[in-house]
Amino acid sequence: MKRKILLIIFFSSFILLTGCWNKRELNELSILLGLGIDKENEQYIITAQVVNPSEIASKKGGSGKAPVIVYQSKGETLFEAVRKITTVSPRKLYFAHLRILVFGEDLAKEGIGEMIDALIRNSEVRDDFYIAVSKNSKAADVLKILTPLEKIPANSLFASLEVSAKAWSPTEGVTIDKLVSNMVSQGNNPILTGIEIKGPVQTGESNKNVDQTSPKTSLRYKGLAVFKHDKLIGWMNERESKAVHYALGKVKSSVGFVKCPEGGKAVIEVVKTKSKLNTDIIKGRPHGFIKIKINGNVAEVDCQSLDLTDPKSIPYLENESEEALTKIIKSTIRHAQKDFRTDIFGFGEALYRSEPDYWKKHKKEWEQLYSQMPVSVKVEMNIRQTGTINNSPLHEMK
Amino acid sequence: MLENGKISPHQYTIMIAFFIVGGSILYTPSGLVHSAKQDAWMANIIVVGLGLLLVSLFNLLGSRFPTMNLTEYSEKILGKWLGKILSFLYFIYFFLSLAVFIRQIGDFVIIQILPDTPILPLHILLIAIMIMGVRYGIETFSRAIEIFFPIIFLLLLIFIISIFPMIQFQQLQPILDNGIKPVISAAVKSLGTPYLQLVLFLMVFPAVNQTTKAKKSFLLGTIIGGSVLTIVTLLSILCLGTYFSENLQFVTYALALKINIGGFWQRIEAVMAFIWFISIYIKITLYFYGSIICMGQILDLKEYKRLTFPLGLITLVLSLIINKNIVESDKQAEWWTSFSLPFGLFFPLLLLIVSKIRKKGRY
Repeated sequence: MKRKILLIIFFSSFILLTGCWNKRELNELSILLGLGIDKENEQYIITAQVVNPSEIASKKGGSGKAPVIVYQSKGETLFEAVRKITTVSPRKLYFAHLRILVFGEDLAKEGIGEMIDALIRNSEVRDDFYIAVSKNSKAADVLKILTPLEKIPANSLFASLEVSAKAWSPTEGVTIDKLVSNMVSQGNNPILTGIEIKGPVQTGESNKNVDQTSPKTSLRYKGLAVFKHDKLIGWMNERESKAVHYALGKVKSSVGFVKCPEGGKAVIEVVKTKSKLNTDIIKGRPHGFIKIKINGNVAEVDCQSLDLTDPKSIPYLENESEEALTKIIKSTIRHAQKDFRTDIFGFGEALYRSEPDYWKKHKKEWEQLYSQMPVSVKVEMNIRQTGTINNSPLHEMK
Repeated sequence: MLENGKISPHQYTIMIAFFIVGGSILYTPSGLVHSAKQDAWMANIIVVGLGLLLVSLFNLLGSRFPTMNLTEYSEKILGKWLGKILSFLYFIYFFLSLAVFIRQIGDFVIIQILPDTPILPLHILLIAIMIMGVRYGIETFSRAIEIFFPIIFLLLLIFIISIFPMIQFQQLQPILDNGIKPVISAAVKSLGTPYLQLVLFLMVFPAVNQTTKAKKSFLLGTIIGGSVLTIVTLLSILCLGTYFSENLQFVTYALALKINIGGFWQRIEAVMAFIWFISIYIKITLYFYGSIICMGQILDLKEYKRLTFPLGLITLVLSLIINKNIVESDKQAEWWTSFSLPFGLFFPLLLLIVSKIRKKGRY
């Protein structure tokens, strides 16, 4: 008897084990990969780039439809706008696979703080996506452009940002937790990578764009958006953004060139960098110090005059590149100090770490102090290798 | 004697370590960082020290009456009626804590994992296995804990190692920039969870088969649990910085969310949730066991298993109504220490002094 009862309980418990309370099957989700946010007349416009599963799943390459679908909706708040998307889309947005978040330039100028809260409060949103700012265009347009090679544009943007940060360095993948930490900090300000549309938006929207070998419309990362707390206040160009990343020690690998003794260029490949940033008090005033250590290799020699069999030419190259880099970094810091008056390097935080008492007294006037603070930059370059040959063929042609 | 089961000092140690980690691993960092900022880890070390002092007090009291639990000797020391009143107060304390912890699990699951599920079925499931654990008796239960220990230990180790690449040491600087005061006040404030709660183990103490070793395991368990909490606090400050450590609802879980090594070792936050579920299950079961033994002693019952179902049902209702919303739950941590203070410190001290004066128990 007891066994029978146990068996009944055993089998009836299967009814309870069918799944979660709020299960959402794969065919009920629309997987969000890219999200763009703009603002227009006090209303937020969100643009959601969603995977079109039938185009992605089949191995034969689908039926030639667009691999992603872009939905748009308006709302007074972000959350409202996200939910409103269900009025155009048959499925509810699923945020966990978000790859890239793009802020429109106009919105970024007004401040992105309000957007951020909704994203970090929601438990479905993870923090492994990257954030960028669209330059000279709306975020909505950025998400409409189709990309070659990587079928899903958001994936393409994510991968490109990751690869270029590793190999080229003016770009950087900023995640939401880093952004928030810099936004709330009094001695630091956020920076985000800019993203630009090259070519007309309309041609980029259709699959025809990616049928060509060189698409008419493409996306590319360009420049660095400089923020003061949560407001965009200006852009830095590629050279400057590279300098910023050198100063912050974020460069993993990059390329730079120096002039040869008698004209021409020699290219140095940076393989490793290490930087140290601190702020000290000298004679009652703050003084910034940046020390950068770089390991590099000679990657390309485009001149006749450089003799790489001569041990003296290595110190020459080192000195030249140290000088060039110091110059760029100094001018970039000056640009940030005088024109933007925003501490994107974290000198304030460094001051708080080394001189907490001074910081507490002066943190209200930090913007003023920072803009007049002298900064010493010291670059130490070590060139180790010259590749598989020593002298360039050009050298022999003399 | 309501309980005839015997547990080994080794099992006792593990039980205490789980008990300390259980309720606090997800909450400790934010509470401490709130007042001590980047020095919270020091507060953690201080509070372990204070916890060890408390444990020595419990050991003194417990070893005077090696075969009796708290309620039994409070009747012996203070006389029957006064002792029963004290036991009843302890019952209320244990029972309220039990409801609070069950609610914490419910809140966690609803916020992080199953946002649309009502809280009731989660609590029913939890209370069902809790009743089951208590009905099997302390001996069976502590063996189950022993089985879980290596698994949890390994998972915790994996978790800690996976976090290592995200560490930024500069987050700790400047050290002690507001002086030692906020650190000490944070330490004292956080004494309530979990160190004052260790008074519960005076209910389990007589079940340990070697009294002298039990004292050592009590201290050792506290050190193990305290070190885990210290490491977790340190890691959350090192990786997330003070803003997130203070404002995230479940800091340690968020830490696990961030783990990503080489693009494939990622999304292992369920590991963290598993560690927490197991350890807090052990904690609530011990609380339930404590309340039941307390009640059984007050009513002079011969056997405690009868009480499990009625008290379990009351727990279910109590856990649903104990807090109106999550803000109230968070706020509760602030007054919980002052609420726990008489139970965790004053009453044991009173019992010890009175027993010395009236010359009760072993010397």
